[in-house]
Amino acid sequence: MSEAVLILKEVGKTYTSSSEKLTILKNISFSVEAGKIVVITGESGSGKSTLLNLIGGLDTPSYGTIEAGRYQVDALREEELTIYRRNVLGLVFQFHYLLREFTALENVMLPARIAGNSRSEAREKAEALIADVGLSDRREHYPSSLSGGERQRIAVARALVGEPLLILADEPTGNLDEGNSRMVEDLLFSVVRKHGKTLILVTHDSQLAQRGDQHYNLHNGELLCV
Amino acid sequence: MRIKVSLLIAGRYLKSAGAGGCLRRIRGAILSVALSLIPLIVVMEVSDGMIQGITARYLELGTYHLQAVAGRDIEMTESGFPRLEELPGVSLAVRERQGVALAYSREGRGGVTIRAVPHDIWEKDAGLRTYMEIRAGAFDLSTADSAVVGAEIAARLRVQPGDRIKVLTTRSFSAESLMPRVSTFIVRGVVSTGYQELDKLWIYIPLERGDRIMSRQTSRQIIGIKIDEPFGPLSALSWELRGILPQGFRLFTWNELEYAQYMSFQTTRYLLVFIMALIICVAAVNIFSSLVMIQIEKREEIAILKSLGMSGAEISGVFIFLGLIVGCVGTFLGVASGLAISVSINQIIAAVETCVNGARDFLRGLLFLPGAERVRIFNPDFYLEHIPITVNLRDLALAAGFSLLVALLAAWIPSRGAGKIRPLEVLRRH
Ligand SMILES: Nc1ncnc2c1ncn2[C@@H]1O[C@H](COP(=O)(O)OP(=O)(O)O)[C@@H](O)[C@H]1O
Ligand SMILES: [Mg+2]
Repeated sequence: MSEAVLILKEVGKTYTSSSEKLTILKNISFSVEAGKIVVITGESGSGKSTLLNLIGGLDTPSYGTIEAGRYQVDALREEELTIYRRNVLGLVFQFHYLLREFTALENVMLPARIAGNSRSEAREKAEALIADVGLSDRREHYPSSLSGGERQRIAVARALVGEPLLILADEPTGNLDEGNSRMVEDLLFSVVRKHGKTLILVTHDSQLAQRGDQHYNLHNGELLCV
Repeated sequence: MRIKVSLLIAGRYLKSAGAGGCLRRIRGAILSVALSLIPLIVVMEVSDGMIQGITARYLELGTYHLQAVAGRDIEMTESGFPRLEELPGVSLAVRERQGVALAYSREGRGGVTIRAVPHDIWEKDAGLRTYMEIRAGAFDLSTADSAVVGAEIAARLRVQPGDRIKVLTTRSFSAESLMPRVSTFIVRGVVSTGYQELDKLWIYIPLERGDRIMSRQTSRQIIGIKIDEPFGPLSALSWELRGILPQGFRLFTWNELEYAQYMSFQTTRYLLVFIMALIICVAAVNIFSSLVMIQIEKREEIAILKSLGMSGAEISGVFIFLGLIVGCVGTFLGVASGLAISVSINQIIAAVETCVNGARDFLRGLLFLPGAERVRIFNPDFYLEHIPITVNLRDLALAAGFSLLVALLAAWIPSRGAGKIRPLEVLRRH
């Protein structure tokens, strides 16, 4: 049995607005082993994004602990979070969030450059990943001249370039039509498998769940193994 | 902190033209820095020249560059005259005796200052020749009864070259006795210094005659000294002169003698520079608002960069770098254009005068009005025909440094704000 990359213990998240206390997540515990693909499904508003944000260090849990790699995410200070994101995470969002001033290739290179890779190193890695997502002929294009599906494929390549321990994907095909969704999903799975990465994929598309190694469902703030 | 990444992002922002691009805002900020710097540079460079020019007129006509003033108990006709002219750097050293007197003619009278100077001073003193305007007659002190009078005095006494004037002076031989004495002179020339208050004060007479009609108790005896570089540093030469001067003399430099005058010019200049520096602060507001706008427009990108692992300090670095670029480029452009304008200020004034006069003459021609005197921006009776410009590098460096500093300070707050953006707050919106 291989080592756990991610361990959540009794994690909960509540928002307290002026009048009421809103419980989004309660007592969530699960762990993910290296090289596995975990799919989390749930209805819209069930707290899937909230859960990923907690793991990604973008938000802090109300209680419980989150361990990812060597880091205890819930206890990190701002500067440590930067290091954590740089060294451990690759993120894909529903929206592509590519930078408009940079070409596809440069967008993919960016996380590697931020992590301190030299220009040529970053370029080499980025070109290989862009080839993996089948967009080598488009790498000098700016995001504005790419289609929605192509942008999302570039975003997938960008999430992998920093050689992250853990890839978090929050409904990466949520904005795409049927055909493009399939294509991006296929690419995401194949690239992740090829590089032996660990992926947590959040989606409201329960069909996708079958393709992962583990499947959880979020309902009423509780995470259930399916 | 990796400066390279900050530079990479900032560099790309600088290149991003088009509708949503930062370049437009950056260009606007650069332009405002450059424009705001121009008045400061011009004021600093031109005012120096003007102050020097205006001061020079006073120095050449009245105070000399340095003055050795004899003590009350020295009578220079007896003590002799130290040979200061032989010192390197000294171009002129003349003895002068000054005293107050009442001048009158049949037509009028007035209190005056008698300036008894060597009869050949006009030949010896080039500065005097440059700045003193002869209105009538000549600067002729060749005979003992010669006098050259200021234009205002000539008007008050209603005298012209060839006319007689009488001068009442006093001599005192002891503390108690004061002897009035009336001397008659023939006006040889009427002169103007360009300053009314001096023109109603000064009467020049030959030195030997002055020695006779004024005593040491009722007059001031000086050695007027002119040197090659009056606006250079004076301290070394003053030390040397003090060493040579006999006991009882006190040496003053022109900026000590014209202290009030000089300080009032300098204060005006400081005030102007201060006001112009405020304009740079307005430019700083411009930088500030440009960067704040960029920060707002780029919130989402900043959030994503942070989620990709860029630190707050690195994000701040992007904005500091943008501020630096605005500061450097704007300062360079501002200093360059300010200098260009300063150096050609005389031509610019001339061109403006030509345009104004041309337009006016054209209008007058259209309306069949008679021609009128030329419009002058600076009345040359009081100012200078030509403003001497010497580029002052120290002031330039100060202005450039100030504008850079202000640009950096203006970038500081937006950069802090950008560094503090929390990714979640922005990314949740999609
Ligand atoms: N900052 C917040 N304050 C209050 N409620 C929030 C906040 N963020 C998210 N929520 C609520 O938490 C619930 C889960 O949101 P989210 O995790 O985005 O759901 P999902 O991604 O599964 O659609 C939603 O009902 C949302 O309104
Ligand atoms: Mg969501």
